[in-house]
Parts: sequence; structure tokens; C-alpha cells
Amino acid sequence: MGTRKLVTMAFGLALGLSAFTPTRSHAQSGTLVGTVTDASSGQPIAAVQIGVQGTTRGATSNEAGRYTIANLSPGTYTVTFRRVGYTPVSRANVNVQAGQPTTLDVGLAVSVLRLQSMVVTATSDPIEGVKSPFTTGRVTAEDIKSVPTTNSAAAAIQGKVAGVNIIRGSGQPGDGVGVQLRTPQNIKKGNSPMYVVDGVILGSEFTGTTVDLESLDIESIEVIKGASAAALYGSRAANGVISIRTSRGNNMPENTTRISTRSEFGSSYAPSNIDVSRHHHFALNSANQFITASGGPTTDRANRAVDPNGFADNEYPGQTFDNIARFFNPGQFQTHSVNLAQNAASTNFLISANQKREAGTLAGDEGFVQRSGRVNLDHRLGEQVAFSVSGFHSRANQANANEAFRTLLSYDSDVDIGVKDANGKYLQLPNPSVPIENPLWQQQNENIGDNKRARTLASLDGRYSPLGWLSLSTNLSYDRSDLGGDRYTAKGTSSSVTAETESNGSLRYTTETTDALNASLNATGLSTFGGLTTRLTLSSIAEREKNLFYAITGTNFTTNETPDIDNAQTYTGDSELIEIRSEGYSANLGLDYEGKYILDLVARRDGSSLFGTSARWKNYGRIAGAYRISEEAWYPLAGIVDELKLRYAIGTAGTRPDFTDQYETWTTAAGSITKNSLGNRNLRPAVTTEQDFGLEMIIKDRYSLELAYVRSHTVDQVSDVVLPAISGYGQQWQNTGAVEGRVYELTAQAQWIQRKNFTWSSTLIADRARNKITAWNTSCELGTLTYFCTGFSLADMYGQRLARSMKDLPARYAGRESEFQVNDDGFLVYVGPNGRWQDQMFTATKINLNGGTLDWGFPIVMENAGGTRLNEILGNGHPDAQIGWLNNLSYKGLKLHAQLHAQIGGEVYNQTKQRLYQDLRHGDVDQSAKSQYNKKPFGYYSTIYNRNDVTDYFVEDGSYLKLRELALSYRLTQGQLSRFGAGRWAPEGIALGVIGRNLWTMTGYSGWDPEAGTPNTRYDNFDYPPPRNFTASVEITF
Amino acid sequence: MHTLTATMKHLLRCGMAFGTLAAVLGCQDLTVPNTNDPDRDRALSEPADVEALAGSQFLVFFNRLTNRTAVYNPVPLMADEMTGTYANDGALEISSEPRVEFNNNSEADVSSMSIFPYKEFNSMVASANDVLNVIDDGLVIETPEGVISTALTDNTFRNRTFALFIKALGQGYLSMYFDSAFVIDQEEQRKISANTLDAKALPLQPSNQVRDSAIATMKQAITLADQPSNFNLPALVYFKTRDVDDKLLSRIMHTYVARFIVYGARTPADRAALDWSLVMSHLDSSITEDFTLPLNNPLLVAGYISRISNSGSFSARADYKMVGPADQPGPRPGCPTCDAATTAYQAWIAKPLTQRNRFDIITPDRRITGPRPDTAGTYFQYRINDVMDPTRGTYHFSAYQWRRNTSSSTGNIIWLSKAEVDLMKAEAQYFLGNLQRAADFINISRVNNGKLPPITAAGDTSRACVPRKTDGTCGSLLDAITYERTIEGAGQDALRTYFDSRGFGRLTTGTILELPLSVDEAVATGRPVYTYGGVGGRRAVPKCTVVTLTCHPSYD
Repeated sequence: MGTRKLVTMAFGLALGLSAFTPTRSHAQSGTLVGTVTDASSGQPIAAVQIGVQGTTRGATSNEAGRYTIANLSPGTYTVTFRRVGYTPVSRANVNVQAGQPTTLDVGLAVSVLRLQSMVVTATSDPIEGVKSPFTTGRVTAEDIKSVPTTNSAAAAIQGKVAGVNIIRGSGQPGDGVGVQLRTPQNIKKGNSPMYVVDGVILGSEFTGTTVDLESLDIESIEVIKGASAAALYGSRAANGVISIRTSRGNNMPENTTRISTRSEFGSSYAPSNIDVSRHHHFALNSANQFITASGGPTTDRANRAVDPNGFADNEYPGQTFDNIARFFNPGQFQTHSVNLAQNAASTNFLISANQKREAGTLAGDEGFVQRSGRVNLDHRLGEQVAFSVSGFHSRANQANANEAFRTLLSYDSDVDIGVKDANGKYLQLPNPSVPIENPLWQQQNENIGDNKRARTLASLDGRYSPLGWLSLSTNLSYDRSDLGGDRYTAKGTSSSVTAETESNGSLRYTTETTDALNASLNATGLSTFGGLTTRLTLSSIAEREKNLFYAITGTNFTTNETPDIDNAQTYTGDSELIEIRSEGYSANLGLDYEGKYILDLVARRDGSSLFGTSARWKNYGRIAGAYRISEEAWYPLAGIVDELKLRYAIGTAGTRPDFTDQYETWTTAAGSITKNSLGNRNLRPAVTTEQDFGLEMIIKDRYSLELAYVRSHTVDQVSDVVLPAISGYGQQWQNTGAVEGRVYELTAQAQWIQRKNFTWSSTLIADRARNKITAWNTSCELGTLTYFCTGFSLADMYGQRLARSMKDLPARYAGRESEFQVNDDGFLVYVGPNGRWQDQMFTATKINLNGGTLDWGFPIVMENAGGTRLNEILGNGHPDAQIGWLNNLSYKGLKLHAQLHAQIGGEVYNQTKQRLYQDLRHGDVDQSAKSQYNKKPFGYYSTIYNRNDVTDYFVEDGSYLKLRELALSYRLTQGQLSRFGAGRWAPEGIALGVIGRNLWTMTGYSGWDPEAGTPNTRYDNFDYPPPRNFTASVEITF
Repeated sequence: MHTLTATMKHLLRCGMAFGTLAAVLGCQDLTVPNTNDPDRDRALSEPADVEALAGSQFLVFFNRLTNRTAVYNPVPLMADEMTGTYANDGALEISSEPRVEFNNNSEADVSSMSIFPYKEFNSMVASANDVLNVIDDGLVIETPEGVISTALTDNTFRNRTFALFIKALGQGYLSMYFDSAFVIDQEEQRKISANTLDAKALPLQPSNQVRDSAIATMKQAITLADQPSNFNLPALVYFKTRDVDDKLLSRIMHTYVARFIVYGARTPADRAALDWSLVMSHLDSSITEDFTLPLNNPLLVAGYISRISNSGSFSARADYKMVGPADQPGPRPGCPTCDAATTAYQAWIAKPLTQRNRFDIITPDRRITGPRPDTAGTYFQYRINDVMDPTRGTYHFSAYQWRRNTSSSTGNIIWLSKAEVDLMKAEAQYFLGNLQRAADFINISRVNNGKLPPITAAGDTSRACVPRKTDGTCGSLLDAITYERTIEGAGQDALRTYFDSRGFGRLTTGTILELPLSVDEAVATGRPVYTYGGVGGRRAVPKCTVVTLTCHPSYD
């Protein structure tokens, strides 16, 4: 069955629900009316969402707190009242009679406690947080809109939800973030969560997920962190689920239309704290000129003789330059948005448009431009039928920044890379004798291309509630992603200054599109038997996704300056088509006995084309229970600890193989055929089983505490196993290996002050996550830093150590201990018989001792018993603990939002430093400030560089404390504006603010930023540094 | 009653709706074909595909020898053919002195020097076996003859011949490079592909048995090629940029058999003990002119060529142990110890490593320089800049750089040279005791290309003798062969000089003599990982005891 047919049928069926028109006569209907007030102040509350369970009927309170729900069939209902900032309230047994209004007035208690908010994603139907039997993190608009994210909507939860590990490894505008929930579940497959936006399950084959979403529209983000909570999502959910809901206009008072605009202007600033050497190690004559090995003066840098003592302590003959400062410029940052929202009795909608422009901090980087629009609409057709439509489109352009930070940092300090020609252009070779092309010239002169992206999300939801206890719903969602790139090199462009060659011209276009379509049908039945409330949801879901990539490259251009493929004389191309078909069936039974004992059961069966032909189906499930001790009659702490709950959940979820994994593949290219991968008909998804133990409490309705201990175990890892070479195949994907994880999470919230004009609330999160490979039944393998082998963590750094004490001395030198000393840098070095490390005998030639080769005074690599280099665990990239502290204060119109985020422990591998040791450009190589006896020759640092092997010296503590978000705003009300003379045209309000992002970092890490690499591989390799960002904002509401 | 009926109707509608949609959603066919890459059935079902599989194996071989960094970065430096200070793929580690053992751990960059050749030479064998099995199963390979003609021709015979050639090449190079390998016949290959034979359980064969198998397979191919079938191997399918007929293929195969025998020797003693009559018989049937391949992106690209002729920080230069023996005594700038009896190369090798710097060569060999040391010869050119990293040892520096061809994708690469054949004949005649015939073969390139005076059976004993040993004395006739073969054979591919130099005893002390089983294969087959090399190590060049062209016992 084709995709088009699937769409047509599901769409038709979704709309067809509306054909089940209400059969109850409005003539016999009743009306529910009432007023919602603040329980403490008695003031009316606007924008409270009132829902009547078992129907699609609902309303929103107006400015006077009044609401009206008409055309209700006579009967007994449960009515819910919800509003952000207030504890949800349910009123059961509300009796609506025909022909007359029923009055139901409610007082809502103020709360910002997450425990008291609704959980909407982890179960088939929303459930009150206090009744949820598993951990769910939640961030609301209040915590997002104060400081909208610049690079990814997903970053909005960084440091705000326990158990979430987010790393912004690249500060290049338009690059996203790495997100990991709790611990990594997969050794060879991805550990990113699944994303759901307004019911749209985002495609799995597209890489730009977190970049394309606009944070300004977000109403809430719910984080379902592990397999137990995410079991409902089956084979894709082992890494958890992030569910994003955007604004729909229904959080405004009823019969309200609002237009608001928001603009933000400012700049991004790069750090510049990498220490580079300001002196050199080349020989000079008495006239302060460089000399050759023969002793004659030279200006040819390549023929300079090295200073015999090898110390980089010589002043450059001429002027020196701070090239680091030259290649960073503040980049302009601005966002603009406008949205129109309306909330009426039967319809609410939001239309928004946003534009973001962020220039890079690297000189010449044009940065990232994104434009997006959103339309969300809900409409209720009578009492029984409702539908919702959501649409989002984003287009963006990311300039390919030339991330040649290594080259930039490696230029000697006497080379001025900022010098320009008469036309104001950077020079290709700032110093002709340095055969390294100036990256600033490349940035300015070469068209290194742009990445273009577009994203379209659309969903249609239909809901039909024919009976008070039964509702049917359907969802059809569509995610379309487009990625395009181009890269043009004009004919005649110098392709290498060292090879003295010019390009014949080349042009490359790449295009990647992903179409992901999901359709689902749900039937939910609600029943009450005495004190037992039951909810059963049966669901069916189908997924269809296609990903098409193709590229064409033309070279050898006929004419100059004609960037057209037709101009090329030689073409090469590439293409790949991926199609995924999956379907699943699930049953979710919820049992609630008097709000005291809660049980949630899930059974799901998934089939997918990604599984081997002999293993097409997989089962998942969940058992979760909660015991609300505070609901017991005998509960002794009532009035102090208002809510006390114990909970436990065990559930399973999966990680799917990738498209090609199950297939036998032979590679064809340019007319040749070679074997590639041996297929596997039995390939199954990896299965994660997670147990979640929790304790939750609410104290005096103002303080909450959530504690969770989580254990996970993922078996049947989808792993590429190397095959014997004679088979001709490189590898086979097999189910082998297992990983376990352990996580401790704490979330504490407090409403310190809750007065009419002054509020202060805080959220504190903390977590600690550890994982280990418990089984690895194939050859151990080295990743970038990690060693994939039983007993290792996926964040371990595995490599070599430099000897630092006599116990580290390689066995081959046993008996010669007196010839070694620990020097002032803490390294054990060879000093010879009766020698001292201060003796400065570095110019001695290599010493052969018992088969080993040593340089006098240089560090020594530790060895194992066999005499080869010892490799062992040097550190771990996962923090010992993460702590986030979020504060929101308001005083009248003044609001302050501040977030501190700390990583305690955990290491970062500073490959940037290691390479600068190799290039002899790091500040440590500069010996000018040392006393004569403490100086070390350049070869000493080359030894520490250790041929670029992973070495303990470059493993650094990644601890930090960051002021990640700071915002101060003041809102002028309509009354105040009127007094300023705006009269009747005065807007409803104007908010003026200043915002800082990533403003301040306290760390001992010596690189640009300890937030480097990815959540599991903390590898700092000349990455684009994350900027500090400082802006001013203005928001006007009409 | 009315309410109950209505309720039932609603339930019925709801049930129908749910059931219908569930059925719609659930009727997907979950079988999705992979249209990106063929599987075995698709790859081997069409005659043209089988021919493509056979023909494309030469590209696998060509790329491994000339277009893959894992070999062309470290091996020419380890073999003292070229020199450089770049560290990629373990090049610096494996070429620095004193030599260290080969790091056969998967985490070491240098291990790729073993992993990829092992994998791809085996892949050639496996693919060739696949082709032979398909043909034995009765597939008739009828394919169009040439690009223009669409008429189908039965090309089964040429494919069988070529597959045997490829299988022999894969086995032959495994035998020259590694200490051991699997020898898999067609039936075993068939069982492995069908998962009825676990390759792990098969025994490893020592290199001489692998070589014998390679030679036997090549002889089968030669027998077929020598039949009066008159087939042609069209360029696009087989050698990519040129046609080869059955006659030429036969000569190519004889040349490779000679290589397997001669280059298979690990030490001078092994070399001296070879059956040189057998070698000579193959050389008599070998190529009679250079077998060149036009380079053409993307059909054939030789990254090795651009690497050894590049002037950037990744460039390689001609190692002084290759061109230094041509140096003549005489004073020159930068060499205070050079005099009428001392060459700069002699002075260079006498210095400690940390004091060795670049020097200029004075030589009559016009392949290395022009009339002056700083002018270009026909094969090498003078480079004024070092463009290398002095912190990694100036003993890696050299003033001379390859220039015979410089582009990776244009011009020709000499894949098998007549000079190599002539000089192997010279070596054969030398060991067979026919010294003057040996000299005659040496003089073909020495006189014509090097513009050097002819050598005699007594060697070159003239004042300006080439080559000279590291003590400045004139080299022997055998030295002249080794020198000539190194200069003429430079720049052919990234492995040739390594294979040849170990049998000549030219490699630096501690250099690994053969590669251990690759770490990937050891792990994949459940065998222990081991290694060789390093000063005093197993299967490593021992310290020299006599003065040669490349070492001196006093300074080694």
C-alpha cells in the first residue's frame, strides 16, 4: 500500500469522525456556569481551561473568571480546571440538568510545583502529576520564554530537568545540541531521544531535529526519561521521549484576541582564553636575525635553524600579533516574532511568525538565518466532536564557517594574519614563507557554501466522544525535512598554496529529504466501579518514512566564474533511498482506587521493516504503580507533608537497527562491485528494561521533593561485528552486548514567596548517572576515546599515562631507579647516574636502556608487563553530578530569571591542547617566564604530545559553574502606558528586558569551554566555541 | 430502551471505526527492499555483474597499493624509499629511529598499515572465488564487447582467467606482506558464504605456503591465457584506463610470479637461496616494455604519487638511504667534513641522529640531479625549503624530491617496469654466476637513464663510482643492482620498495621484516594478537655487521 493511499485513508477517516454527528438533542441540554477565583486572594482568574471528561466540551474563563459551557447533555460529569501556575482541580459528580444552568464555582491554589501539573505524554490520557507512577520532567513556557534558546529548542531543558545531559559542543550558529536522557543505552547506535511535537513524531533519519524547532512558540516540554515511562512508544523509545507542545491560544481568557510582538537585539561574544606561545625556539644571530644551519642569516622560515638549547624563550625579531583576538568578532544577534491568538467558545487558534539571525563570532562567518511560521487551531463541533490542526514551517540558511581553528592558533605570533591588501581583503599568505593558507582569507574569498534546511510539520487530530465513558481519537502527522548544500570552487582558485596548484573548478550540490508520516487511532473507555476508576486505551499506530539523499559533483570546468553543473566536464554522483515501515498495537490500562492506589499497565507489540525478516515483531510492556500514602485515613503528617507518594515502574522499550543493518550488501561504485556487510535475517531491536523507584512529597503546598533511583539494562545491542577477512565481508550486524545504567535524580521546588506583588520560586535539580558495558561478545574496540569492552563505561577515556612517580617506572628500567627523578612538572624523567632534573642535559642524544629509548629529562610513557605501552582508563566524561538552580522573581512589573548550572566532576579530553603541543604553539611551550633551571626544550612538549595517542595529561577536570541564563524585564501595563499619553491606543502591555546567555563560567578547564564534545564523548577538538550572548528585548501585546 | 439502542449503535459505529482504521494501519507490508546496495543474488545474477565483480578487483588492488593512505603514508617511509615528518597512519612512529616494534593494537594509527591490506587482499581472493564458483555453476558470461558494440559475446573464458589472476594476486601479496594467511579454495569459499563453514576454524598457512598457492593459481591463469583464445580485457571493466589482451596479461602474470618469488624473500640469505633459474624462466616470459596505466579521475587515482611529490607539510622526500649512495666525495657548503675522500652521505650516516641535517648530493647520476647539486635530475628535483618539522628529527630531512610524475590523476603511472624486469634478471644472473650478463642487464637503465658509465663484472671501481657504501668505498656488482633497482623502482607503488629492500638488506636496523596477522583478523578469528619489529625484536632487521650501502656497523 502506497504512502499516498495511507494518507488518504487515514485523513479521510479522521475527517470522517465528524460524520458521527451528535445525536443528543440540544433541546434537552443543560449548561454549566461558574467563576474561577484565586483561592488565597479571591481574585478572579482568567484563562483557566475547564474540561468536561467524557466529552469534547470545554471553556476558558474570561477576565472576570467567568465561564459557560452550554449544550451539555443531562448527566453526571467530572469537571477539570487547569491553568499554568495553579494546582489542577477536579470536581466529580457534577450533575447537569436539562433546561437549567448548573453553577460550579472553584477556587484554585497557586502552585508552580511540577508535581502538581498534568502529565500528558507518558500515558494515553493526561494524568495528574501527583498520581503519575513514573518520573516525568516538565518545563513550562515561563521557564523558556524568559531566555529563549538561540540554537535549539531542546536546549531549553538544560539544567532544568534532572537526568538530562545536554552538551552544546559547537557554538557555530545553526548547530544543535547533543541530548541524552539519563544514561546511554546503546554502544553502537544513537542515544538521542525521540521527539514529539504537538503530536507529530519526528522522523528518525533526519539529523536536524533540535535546530529547526522555534522555542518562542513552546508552551511546555515534557521529558519522558527512560524505558519505563516511554514503553508506550515501543521500539524507538529506549532513549526516552521529549514531547514539545506549542501554544494554541487556549490559555487566554475566553473571547479574547491578542496580538503580540517580540524583538531581541544584541551580540554574541566568543571567549579568547587559550594560552599560546609568544616566543620561539629558533636560533638568532647577534643582529637578532634568524639563521640557517650553516649560520647565515635567513628570512626563509622553513630553513631556520633550531636554537641548540631548544628553549622557546627567544623574542621574535619583529612585531608580534594577537591573532586570536583578530579572528573573533562579536556577532550580531536578533530575533523578531509576531503572533496572533484568539480564544473563543468553540475555536481557539494561534498564528505566529518568527525570524532569527545570528552571526558567528568567527570573523567573516555570516551565521544562521531562520524564518518560521506556525498555525495551531482547535475547533469543537458540538458536544462530541473536536479536531485540531497544527502546522509549522521553517526555512533556514547556515553559512559554512571555516572552522580552521587549529590553523589559526598555529600561526607564529610574528605573523599578522589580519593584514589586508589594498582592496581590504585578507592575504592568502600573510607571510609568504609560511606555506599555510590564511583561514580568514578562505572565509572571505572562497565560496565554501551554505547549508539550507526546511522543515514542515503538520498534524490533524480528531476526537469523538459518543458516550460519556468512551472516546475515539485519531491522529495523522507529517514531518517533512529538506536539507540542501552547495560548495563551489571557482576555476583558477588556488587549491593548495603548498602544492602550487590551482583548482579546475568544482561544484557540489547535495539534497536530502525526509518524509515521515504517522497515523494512529485510539479508543479510550472510562469506568468507575465504586472507588475504582479504570481507564483502558487501545491504540493502533502506523509509521511510514522515506529518506532520499542525492549529490552531484561537477569538476573540470570549461569556463571561469560559471557555477553551473553544465559547465563541468566530469561528473560524479551519489544517492541513497531509505524507507521505513512500522506499525504497533498497544493497550494501556490505568487503575485508580480512590486516588490512593494507582496502577498503570502497558502492553505493546511492534512490527518494523527495520527488523530482520525472521524477527519482524517485538513485544514491550510496563507495570507501574504508585501508593499515595498521604491519602490514607491514618496518615499522620497531613497539613505538613500534604503529598507523600511511593512509586515503582518497570518497563521495556527498544532501539531499532538502522535501515541497512539487516541486509547483505555489496557496494557498487564506478562500475566496481565489492562485498560489504553480511546480512542478518534475525536482527532484532535492542531492548532496554528500566526500573524506576521514586519518592515524591509536597510540603505545605509550597515545597516539593522528588527522588528517583533508576536502573536500566539494555540487551541485544545492535553491534557491527568484524568478520574474518577471508569471508570477503567487512562486518555483520548482530545482537550482541549489554549495557547497564544507574541514575539518581533529585528535583526540589519551592515557592518561597507568593504575594500579590512579590513572588519568588526556585527549582533545584541534581543527578548522577553511571553506566557500564556488562557484556560484549565480540572484539573489543577503541572509539574516539572509549574502549568498547566488558566492564568499561561508554564515557570512559581510555589511553596512556605518563610516569609520575617511581612506581610508574617501566619494568625494563628496574634496578636503575636512582637514574630517574620527578621533575617540577610532576613527570618522572631520566637524569642519568647521580643526575638531577635541573642539570639541563637535554641536548644529550637518546639513551638506550634495556631495549628502551629515553631522552634525557623527557617524560616517559608507562608500560605494561610485556614492555608495550600501557592503556587504561584515564577518566570519565560523565559528570559525577549535575546541579541546576533556577530562580524566578517578580515584583510588580519587574521580573528576574536566573539559572545557574554546575557540572561537578567528569573529564574533558583537551585534544586542542594536545595538538597545540604538537605544533609547539601552546602557551606551556613558552619558556620565557621560567628560571633557567626550569626551562624545557620543545622536544619535551613533543614527548608529552605522545604522537597524538590519548594521554592522561590532556584529560582535564570538566567541572564548571555557569550562569547559563539571566533575564531582567519590566512590564508596563496598559494603565501605565495610558498615563504616559498613549491614550486609548495604548497596548495591553510592553515588556522591556535584558537577557544574558552563557554569561559567566567558573572552571579550571584550560580550553575555551568545558562544555565540549558530545554527552558521551567529551572530546574538545578545535570546536567552534559556544558564545556568550547579551541582548535587549521588547515585547508588545495588543 | 431508546437510550440503550442509541448507545449500542454508537458502540457499533465506534467499533467499526476503530476496527477499520486499525486494519488500514495494520495492513502494511513490512518487507522493504534495499535498493541502494545489491545483495549476493543481485550482484551475481547477471553476467555483466559477475564480470564487473571480477574486473573491479584490479581497482581494489591498485587502490590498496597506491591510493590508500594507510599504506602509502607509512610504508615508503619505513622502507627508506621516501622520508617525511608527517605522523598520519603511524608514518612517523614506524619510520623514526631507533625503530620500535610495530604497534598491532587496534587503537594505534599504525595498525591500519596491517588491517586494510589484510582485509582487501583477502577480499580479492574471496571475490575471485565467488566468480569462479558462479562460472563453475554454469553461468555463461555473455556481455557486450566494447562500449559501442552491443552484441553479446561469450566472455566466460576471460573472466575465469582474470579471476584466477586476481586470486593469485591477492594470495601473492598476502604472502609477501604477512607472516601467514588463510588459503581458501573455491569450495570452502562457497561454504563460508552459505554460513556452513566457520572461517575461524580454518588453519593459518605460513607465508611460503601462501606464496606457493599463489604461484600455482597464477600458473593456472597463465595456462588459460596462453591458450589460443585471443581475448581482450576492455579498459572500463578490468584495468580501468587501458585495454589488455591475453598475450600481455600472460606477461604481466609471469612478472608477478617473479615478484612473488624474489620479493617474498625476507633477508639477503633468503634471497640468495632462491631458485634463480625458475625466476629467470618467468622473467623470460615477463613484460618487454613498461606496463603503464593512464591516471584519470575518478577511474584511476594514485594518491601515492601526489604525496611523494607534494611540497606541503605532508610531503615526502627521497630518503638519503635511497639516493645517498650516489653521492661523491668533495667539499660543499654545510659539510665541513667533506673532502676529496669523504662524501656528504658518509659524513651524514656517521653523525648521531640528532645532528643529521639535509645535505646536497654531488653525483654523475642524472636521474638524481642535474650538473649541479641544486638542479633537477630526470627522476628527482632539488627543493630549497625543508617544509618539514625539525622537532621530529632533522635526520628525516632531505633536499631531493620525486618528480618523475607528480599528478595523482593525470599522466601515466608505471605499474610494472621493464627496468625492474631487467634488474631482476641481473640479480638472477648474478646469483647464477653470470656476472657479465648481470652487468649487461644493469647497464640498460644505468647508462640510458642514469647517464652513468657502464659497469663491468667487477663492478664500478672508477673514481666517480656509483654506488658507494657508507664508508665511501665503491659498491659491489650486487650493490649496483640494489641501487639501480631502488632508483628505477621508486614511485611505482607504496609496497614494492619495502618488499625488495628487505631481501637486499637495505632496511634500517629494527625495521619489521613482515607483518603479523592483523589485529582485526586475530580478534575476528579468536587468535592472539602479537607483533614483530623494533631494535632487537622478533622478525626485525638485525644490527648490521658489515658496511653496506645503507648502514655502517660503527654507527648502527
